[in-house]
Amino acid sequence: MNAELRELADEYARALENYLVGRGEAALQDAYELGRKTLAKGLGMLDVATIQQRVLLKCLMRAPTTKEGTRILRMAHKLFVESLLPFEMSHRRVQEVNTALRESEQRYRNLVDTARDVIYTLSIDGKIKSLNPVFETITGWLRDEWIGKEFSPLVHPDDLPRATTLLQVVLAGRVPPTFELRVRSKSGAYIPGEFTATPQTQEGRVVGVLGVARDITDRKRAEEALRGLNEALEEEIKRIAHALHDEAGQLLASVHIGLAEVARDLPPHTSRRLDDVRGLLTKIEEQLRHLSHELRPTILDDLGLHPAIEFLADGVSRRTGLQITVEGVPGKRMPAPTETALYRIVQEALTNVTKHAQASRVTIRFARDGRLLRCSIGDNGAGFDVLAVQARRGARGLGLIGIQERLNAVGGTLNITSIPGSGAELIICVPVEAGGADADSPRR
Amino acid sequence: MRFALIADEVRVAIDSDADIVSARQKGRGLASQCGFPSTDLAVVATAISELARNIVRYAVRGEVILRLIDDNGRRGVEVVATDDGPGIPDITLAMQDGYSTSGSLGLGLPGVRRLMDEFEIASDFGKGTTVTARKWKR
Repeated sequence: MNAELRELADEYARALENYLVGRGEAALQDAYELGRKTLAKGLGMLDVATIQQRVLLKCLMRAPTTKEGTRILRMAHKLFVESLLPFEMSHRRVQEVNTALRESEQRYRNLVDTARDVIYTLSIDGKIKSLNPVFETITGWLRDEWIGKEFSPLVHPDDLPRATTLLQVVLAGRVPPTFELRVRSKSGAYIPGEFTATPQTQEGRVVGVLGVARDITDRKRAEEALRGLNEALEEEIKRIAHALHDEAGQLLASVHIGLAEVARDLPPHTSRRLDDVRGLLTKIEEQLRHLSHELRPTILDDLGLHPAIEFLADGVSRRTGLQITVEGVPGKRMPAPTETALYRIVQEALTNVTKHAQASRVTIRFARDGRLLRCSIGDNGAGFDVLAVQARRGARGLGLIGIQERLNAVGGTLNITSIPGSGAELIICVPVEAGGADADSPRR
Repeated sequence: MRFALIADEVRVAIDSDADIVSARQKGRGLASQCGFPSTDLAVVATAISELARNIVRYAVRGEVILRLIDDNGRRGVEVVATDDGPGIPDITLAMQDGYSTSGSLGLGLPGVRRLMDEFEIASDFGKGTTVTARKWKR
């Protein structure tokens, strides 16, 4: 028995003696306070039991008669109960905390078990630690088939390097932005998933990864459908442009020839009035041609984005009086969907400026930065509250959704900066093949 | 009062540690009249200890009122500890373990709540605190 316990034992012995000589409640209170003190020192109930055993033995050995021994035992028991009561209180606290913990755990378990997104945890060596039931519904795998195993065979081989890099990022304690991975289902089909992953820490150390994965099959399908729709729209526009340019154009040409013939048979003063009509007709012809080019500029296919944008800017400028400058060059030719997307976005942006911005100047700027083509469209107009406009959906959203969707299709991003009163700038970045700023050339 | 009184209530003024012993003794006496098993006598005494201890520590002066009560044939002991001390600014907080050093061990007011069958606390900040705790005979 160490010094600390011996000291407590002496105190306990005094309390027992006092109790035996009839000091009643005061002695019981002393025993209670002793128990309290023992607890506060971080000692345990067993220490109190040891103390009581020692003190009681000594006391009993001095008992002259069995009767006195029985009295000592009975009284010592009461004292012992007093000294244990602080521990009883402490024990009840632990029980209450445990119940609360169990309830809290149950609440979270329910949440995880009924979640519609997959909730997973990984150990630091990339093994799956836990999965919630919806994993089975989405992938067709049983959870037991994967818990304790490496996560890597679940990921599409092409996505695996990215997944591995992201795991390292999280294990380094950082939270990467949401990412997409294709997950192999039991049937062998790949399911597109949108993932979040955050480090799980314990005492400041990363001990694993906690993440949520959402099945985005429906969203992907919708994006696909939208892409199809955009392509169909492009086709339709081509058809209309063709009808305007070729068919209506040819008809107008015939009218010209017809008018020229009529003019020959007319007296000079009437012929002059006819010339005015022919002048108007020429203007119509010109506008039709321009319109058809803007709709679907063959120039975009034949000569590339830069000449097409310049042509577009020229047309809009002439129609609206906006002063439009095109700076920089987009560089090497890009795949048709990317060029079309950029053309349409610039077109949409110019329409926005014309309709809403009350601007007098627009600058379209191209810059190539490695594998990224940056295109900005800035104006000096009224500007707008970006967040408010982005929150508005559909037709009142300045067609920003349409722009965003077009960019999604080609893997691009959109940033808008605007200060009300000082104009607005749309900044578009699309990934392109690395390479120099080759001259625009017809696509083969 | 919510319950019928079986005997006259006992009031013990709490001024010092010695009064704690006296209050414990009176409480134990009442509870044993009522036929409480010996461990429950110790429980009642403990509740009185903790409540009276709070009075001595935080309010300096107060009173413990002890009552034998009857609720349709069910008998019990009611301990009321009242003081005109500074009061408790935030009772919910005070009832959490860890609010005080003793509380972090499960002692103090939260400990009394867990030991006893019923527990009520009322405090007007600046006007003192009244704690009522009951233990029913099993």
